[in-house]
Amino acid sequence: MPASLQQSRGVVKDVIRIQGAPRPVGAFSLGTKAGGFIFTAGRSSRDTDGKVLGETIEDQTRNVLDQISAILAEGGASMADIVKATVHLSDLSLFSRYNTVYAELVPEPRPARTTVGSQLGAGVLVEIDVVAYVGDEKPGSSK
Amino acid sequence: MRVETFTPGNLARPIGPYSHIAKAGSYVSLSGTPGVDPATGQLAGSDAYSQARQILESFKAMLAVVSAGLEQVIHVHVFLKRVDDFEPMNRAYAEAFGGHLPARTVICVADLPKKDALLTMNLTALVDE
Repeated sequence: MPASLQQSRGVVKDVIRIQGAPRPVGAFSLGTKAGGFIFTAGRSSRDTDGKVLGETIEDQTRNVLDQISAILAEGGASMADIVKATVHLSDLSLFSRYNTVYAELVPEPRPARTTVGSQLGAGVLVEIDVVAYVGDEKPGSSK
Repeated sequence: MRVETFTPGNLARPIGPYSHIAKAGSYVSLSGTPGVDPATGQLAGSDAYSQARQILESFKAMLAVVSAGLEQVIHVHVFLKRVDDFEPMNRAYAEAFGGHLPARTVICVADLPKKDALLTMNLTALVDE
């Protein structure tokens, strides 16, 4: 957003950064915060150098949701605050195995969700982004 | 509770660990929904027009749970399996939305979880708190 527009409307957007987290592989932030909501980037299971971590859908789903949990925590929210998740699987035959890990790490009552089959990077089995509600009452801890 | 969820009993059950509706403040998110007719539990047809029309009927039923309608939708995300279904999807979509046309994104995906589904949609709406 151009600085002038941001100024004219006050601070409308905070960027969430995490020390030691895998860096975005493109021109985007890991998370942004606006209007009481946190929007995460699509995350895949990678180490800080961008190398794909884990060969199973279970390991990759767990890693991705751990990253999302860390992004939300930095913005002052938790997995219980997720409103919506969008999930891309490289192969929908992995649907039930990814569901098992997802159900373990995303608490009830479960957020709205959309899952589709997509072409992902080499070795990447799952990519997830979420929208979470942090509310206006909690000033953000994002820096 | 800050995030409320609803899964109306008059619609097809979710096929995974998710709710049909999640609401936080005035923000409402509906899950990805295939064109399953709740009366039969089957896809409403083998063509994209019938499936799209059913999806939008299901959305109306979901929005009614949070006292809202299609006129409160701000964004719709459409996932097609075949780009050729863009036109029939649009036809059903325009009929359902009428004069209120929210922001929209349409993409083609490699596959969808629901067998034989030609498309799925999700949406975001703003309602009175």
